[in-house]
Amino acid sequence: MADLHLEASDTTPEITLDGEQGFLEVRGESYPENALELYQPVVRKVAEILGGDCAAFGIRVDLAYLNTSSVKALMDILDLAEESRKRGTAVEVEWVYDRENDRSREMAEELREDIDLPFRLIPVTR
Amino acid sequence: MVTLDLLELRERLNAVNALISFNGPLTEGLIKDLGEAVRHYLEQDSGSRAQVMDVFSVFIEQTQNIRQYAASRAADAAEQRHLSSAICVISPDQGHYLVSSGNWVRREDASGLTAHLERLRGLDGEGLKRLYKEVLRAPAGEGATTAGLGLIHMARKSRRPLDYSFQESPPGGPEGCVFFSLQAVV
Repeated sequence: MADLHLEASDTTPEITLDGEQGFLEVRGESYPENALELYQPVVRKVAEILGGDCAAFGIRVDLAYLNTSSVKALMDILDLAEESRKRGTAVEVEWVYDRENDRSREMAEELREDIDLPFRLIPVTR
Repeated sequence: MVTLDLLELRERLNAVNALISFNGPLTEGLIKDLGEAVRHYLEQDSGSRAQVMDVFSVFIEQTQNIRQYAASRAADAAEQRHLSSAICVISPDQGHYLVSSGNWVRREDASGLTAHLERLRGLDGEGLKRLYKEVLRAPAGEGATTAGLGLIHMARKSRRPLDYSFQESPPGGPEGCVFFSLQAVV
């Protein structure tokens, strides 16, 4: 039973968060005008889950495009995950991208540079 | 009855081969629809997929910055509408696209904006990447806002340093405002 499930819209991704199963999935594109409004509840819930007795947590990102305020929100989540890993939670990140989408891959590579987490890039053909 | 010389207006835009242009109050929905049109036209036009996404991303950042500025600075609904009114033009230029926008800003905000833009103009690719990462990791509210991040993103995507100008309001135009124009070459 998901803690949080947001359907995708024209400018926002599908977001699924499950504390029991230990995963967050963000899929689609993310460019809402107010990313803070969209992601704040997600960040809060992730913090709650990671602050509890969560042994393992997987973050799966499958985003073709993010505006800068979405990147900021995602960074907040990755920072929480990084903190949690330091405390012993097994956290890993998977970034799925279309082989033909150089920009998504580049963004993932750049984020990965500064995040101390297992961070896999997974190219797919769409 | 006022008759608009539409042909004359159109010729001005055609003179720069404007692929897409818009003049009026920006709304969230409009930005989304215009963005989709930008992607669609560019896909037809030429651009590599990466270029289409770069032009699209700069367009989104420019227009969302204007909306964010208007929301944060307007004293009332009328001023919000005024500050969120923009002109946006995307036109091809030798294999690249000029992504331009213009909007009214309060005169007192011009110097801060200038300082920020001049700083960006002074940075190379590596410098811009470093600044982007710095702002990205900064706690929310501290230092630059995400509008700052948007400008850095635009500067990174632009082939030339971001071009900008401030123009005085013409006679009869809005008081206390200057017209801010911004152009990226993507």
